[in-house]
Amino acid sequence: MAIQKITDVDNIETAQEQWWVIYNDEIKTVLEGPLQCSGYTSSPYVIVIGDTEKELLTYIEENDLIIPIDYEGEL
Amino acid sequence: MPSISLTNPLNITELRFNSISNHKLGGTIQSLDVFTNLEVFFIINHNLTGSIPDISGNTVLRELNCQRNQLTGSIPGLSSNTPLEKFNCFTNNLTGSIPDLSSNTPLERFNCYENQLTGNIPDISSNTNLRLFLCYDNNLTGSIPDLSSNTALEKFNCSINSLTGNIPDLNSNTALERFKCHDNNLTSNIPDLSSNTNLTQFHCFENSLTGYAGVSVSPTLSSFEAYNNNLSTSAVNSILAAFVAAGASGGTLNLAGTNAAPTGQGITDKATLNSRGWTVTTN
Repeated sequence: MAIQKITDVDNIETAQEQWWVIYNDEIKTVLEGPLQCSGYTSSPYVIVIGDTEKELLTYIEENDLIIPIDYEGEL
Repeated sequence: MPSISLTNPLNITELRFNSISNHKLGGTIQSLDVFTNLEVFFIINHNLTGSIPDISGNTVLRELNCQRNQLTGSIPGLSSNTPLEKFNCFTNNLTGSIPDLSSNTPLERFNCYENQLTGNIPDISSNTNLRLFLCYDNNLTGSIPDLSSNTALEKFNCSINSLTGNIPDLNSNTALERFKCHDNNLTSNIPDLSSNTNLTQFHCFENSLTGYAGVSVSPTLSSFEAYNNNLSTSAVNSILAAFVAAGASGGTLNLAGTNAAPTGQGITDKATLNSRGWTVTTN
């Protein structure tokens, strides 16, 4: 299955084997994922669903999305 | 190869070797015995191999930072380093167990994530100044220790290990901002988080948690990821209710995957959170 981008995220179903990511299209920032879990998602943002994590990482890269660095203050 | 001549090492209190672009040091870290007044040792982001040397003679050492090298072997004993405040040796290939930290009462940061450490997380009840404890992505086993004495703790991350047992009570950890324990084998309940008024992220996904022991959460909590556990319908409904009661706008809440689905008021609460700008995933 090809990557699916859904902008009206109202109880969107994902299957257990699918990978997905939620991102804010205005600020091009990933808010959740990529992760793999089944369920129904509702969100004011965009969901992208794929078969593999790699597909989503490629999507993130090709669309210049930012994954916030979880900076823990190492120094 | 250029060498650095240190004619009077006794006077040296700080050694810092930060890497600049591609100019990286290789080889091993030699003994630091001669630097008896050394307070700070930084050797960050090089290509160093071998082990962290014995530092038992460096009794005034406050900071050791060997992050992002290729160091192997175990973490040396730290019981002589009683003034130690910061120990950062993350992103190496360190093995063995985390040493006893009970003598290191000034310790504020212990960050050894992305290594291959094994064994238990030690008792850290003496480390009452500890602010950051980050040991994710290792091979740690045993349970998460009692954290009730660690009242200064801001960030605790022991995700991606093989930890068992329950998540400890966090009511004393009022400074806590991020708590992450995902991708382990934890069981029992998600603890009450009502006292954690600075908490922004709580990630416990990919465990075997079954219940929720709280009734309220702080409005600061904007990222709660508990998918792929064994949470009951009651637990899922209670968590949704707690977030509705907190009244915050926007955030991510994921209770889906292998958890139970919400029912009744839980379904209504999910819709309420959606209307407040939350991204919510449930079964």
